[in-house]
Amino acid sequence: MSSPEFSNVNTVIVYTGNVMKQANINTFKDELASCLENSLKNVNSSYNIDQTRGILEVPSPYDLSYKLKDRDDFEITVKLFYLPSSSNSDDNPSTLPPSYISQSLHHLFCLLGITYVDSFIVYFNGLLFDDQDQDDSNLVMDDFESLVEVWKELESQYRNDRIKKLGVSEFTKNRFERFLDVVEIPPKIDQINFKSCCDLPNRMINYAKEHDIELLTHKDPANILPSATFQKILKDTKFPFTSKLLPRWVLKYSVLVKCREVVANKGYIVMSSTPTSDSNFTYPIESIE
Amino acid sequence: MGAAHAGHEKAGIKVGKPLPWEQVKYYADHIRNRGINQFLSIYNKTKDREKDGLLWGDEIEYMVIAYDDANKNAKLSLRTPDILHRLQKEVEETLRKGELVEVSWQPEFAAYMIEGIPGIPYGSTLKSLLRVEQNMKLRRATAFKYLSQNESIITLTNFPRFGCPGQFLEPHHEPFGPKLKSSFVPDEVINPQIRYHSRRGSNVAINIPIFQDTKSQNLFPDCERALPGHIFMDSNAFGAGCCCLQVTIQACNIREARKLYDQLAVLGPIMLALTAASPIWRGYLSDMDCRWFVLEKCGDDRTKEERGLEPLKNDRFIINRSRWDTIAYYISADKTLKSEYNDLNSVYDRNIYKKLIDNGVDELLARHMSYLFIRDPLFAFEDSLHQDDESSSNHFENIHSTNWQSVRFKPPPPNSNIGWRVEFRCMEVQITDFENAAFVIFMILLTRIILSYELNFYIPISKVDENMAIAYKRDALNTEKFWFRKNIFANYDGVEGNNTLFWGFGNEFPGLINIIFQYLESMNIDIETRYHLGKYLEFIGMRASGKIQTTATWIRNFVRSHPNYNRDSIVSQEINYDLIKMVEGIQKGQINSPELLSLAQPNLG
Repeated sequence: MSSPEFSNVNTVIVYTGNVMKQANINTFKDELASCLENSLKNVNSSYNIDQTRGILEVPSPYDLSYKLKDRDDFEITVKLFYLPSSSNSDDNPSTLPPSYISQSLHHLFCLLGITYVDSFIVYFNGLLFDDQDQDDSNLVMDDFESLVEVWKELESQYRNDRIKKLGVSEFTKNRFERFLDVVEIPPKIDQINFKSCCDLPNRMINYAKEHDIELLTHKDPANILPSATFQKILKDTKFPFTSKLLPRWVLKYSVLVKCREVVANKGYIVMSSTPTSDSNFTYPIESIE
Repeated sequence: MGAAHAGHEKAGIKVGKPLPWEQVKYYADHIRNRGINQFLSIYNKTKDREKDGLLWGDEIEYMVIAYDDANKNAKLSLRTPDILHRLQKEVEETLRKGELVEVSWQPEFAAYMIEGIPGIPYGSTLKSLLRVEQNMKLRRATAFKYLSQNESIITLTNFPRFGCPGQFLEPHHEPFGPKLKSSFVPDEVINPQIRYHSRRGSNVAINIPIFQDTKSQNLFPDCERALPGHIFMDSNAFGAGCCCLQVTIQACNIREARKLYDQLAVLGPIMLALTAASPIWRGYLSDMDCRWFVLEKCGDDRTKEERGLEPLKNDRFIINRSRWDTIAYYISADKTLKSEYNDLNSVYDRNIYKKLIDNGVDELLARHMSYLFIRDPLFAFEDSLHQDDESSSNHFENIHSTNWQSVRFKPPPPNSNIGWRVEFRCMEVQITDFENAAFVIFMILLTRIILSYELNFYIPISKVDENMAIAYKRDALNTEKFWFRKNIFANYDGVEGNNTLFWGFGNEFPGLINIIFQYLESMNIDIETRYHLGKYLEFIGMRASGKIQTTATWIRNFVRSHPNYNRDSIVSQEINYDLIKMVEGIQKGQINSPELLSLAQPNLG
């Protein structure tokens, strides 16, 4: 597979496919890693290359010709993780490319055959929720500006009717207040890590009620795909690519059947690229007619 | 037990004149044939229903206790017909005012029992799971208003001293009446609104092994139908007077209902063992922790001919199962159902089978129905013998609802907006609303993971029967092994005996509760709902792993550690009084019982 057609490839996108159909003892330990492995093991049977952009896509054998029918019967929620290695800039490693928003949406829309998602939650790497934090000391000014730039992109997608509801993850009351001062469209969802041993974060709960914010839970790890883990999977599955690949973003998506509380489809898309590639490629996503 | 629920009952009052028994038998074929017509009418109109939302309801049966504190006696109060009447008046008043009916009531077999259900079904979101406990608490609070000073309302699967000599009923009555002809219980235990007749022609003989404690003696050496070393019971009342916890779930279409019916049937014995709550029978500690065996015997209306003891003359079939039993046939249209799983080969009515097939019903469903329809009606009403089969389902329900299976597959009522449903009937009722709500919630979440992950629990149906016989043994949950499918995630063959299915073990299997937690992480669930669901699931997990006791074990331990217990398996009037008082105290939150409940209960108010 290390033929000339790969010489221009600098970006590799891997799809896990429907993880609900791949459930076994391993997926309960690390769902993303074990399903990525399933897809990469199959890479020789099917892959797509976009030569213009230099993107190699590795589909999942569990996704073959899956297209969603009766869109209105489903609620689709996505969560975009900006990984620690999301930026390739050494000077400013915490830059968060806003282009990841349109990239992830584009690939999801193609995958599922949809034109909008119901909720889009964005997770900025390194943020941790703490109901008691008095000042947001782990978030410096530059980081904050970067968050706002990403948010502007989300607002644009929202105005184009591509996203019905915007959300953030691990935002404390303080972070929210700072954020609300500078953004136009406020987040309607805050997704917080659920720790069963702890009491309810009442401060945040009250704030959320006052500001009409849905306080949802998740149990995603702080770093959902460390570079070392990703590279080990590539090595274990003998992925035939000479350059090193850094994972940049992960998009987790859930397709839920409304009024039945059944998960119809759940999966991940991982975008990775070589250390020096320009990850700011964009897809124009116009407004829905 | 359900004998009361003929389709045309309204607010518990029987409409029409019941036919005498001899005539019921005469109309049996008529009722069966018309019942099948009614099923076909419903089936053809609703088999293509799609996208029905998730709705569910629960049913709890309560007992009313009358205390005689001076004599340290806790008795069953026979006043429920009056209490029920007042409760139903309250419902009528609510309806008249145009307000929402939040709780609703039905009579039950025994005059000391009441059944309470939510006024409207719960659903369709996970958030509405939190309404379950609130509604259960409302039921108790509502019923409490109509109790006398010395009365209390509790949820115990059976009353420990039911059928004991002396005073266990308020008011007291002597046993051996003309209806029950029981040496232990009077006819007055039967709710006067219930039409009761025994089809089998002779009293049932139930023998359950006594719990052999250090000084236990041999029982009833002078009764010919009693076995040595067993607790002997001679009436259907012992079973029909039990209280249970039932859940009914609406499926999105008939296919989903059939799938859930099969999968929940396999899990039935496990849930019975997990909810075990009836270790005392007729005043003795037994070696069984559940009511199931007793109910199998009580619900068994087979004549001697049907049991193969005499040649077939008046009856049509030799039948190898009681009317109260686990399911006889799997019915799912899924390809995961292999034909060899249906290995019980129960008899079924060939004529009815052919009629169903000729009218468009598939083989699996036709066989299921024609098995249920081998039974005779147990009652009939003169005014409703002739019905419009296109708009009535009374004849259908007459036979269908007097098959008391562990899971029931429920077609939509005619001309309604209700879809195909599955009723799960195995669980024993627990002492507190927190526990009952936890089990209801667990069943709903179980169906969600079955559907989301396409879990496959299939084992040969004969093994489900084996599991049931294991499940009601003393402390089966922690000491017995159950048959369980090796790989529930893929179509993988392999049946293995093990019982660590809730938490999982080692590298082989994540366990049902862990799968539920994984599922919850895929859902959009708010933090408060997630927190409370976590508490319920934590509780279930602790019961499943033995960290806290089943209700049956707790009751057993209470008796055995009582200062007046003589190590002879006998539950005296005084021990019973203290036990009932303790049960009431725990339910009201006045007494802590960490070995039963741990400290995991949220206060939903």
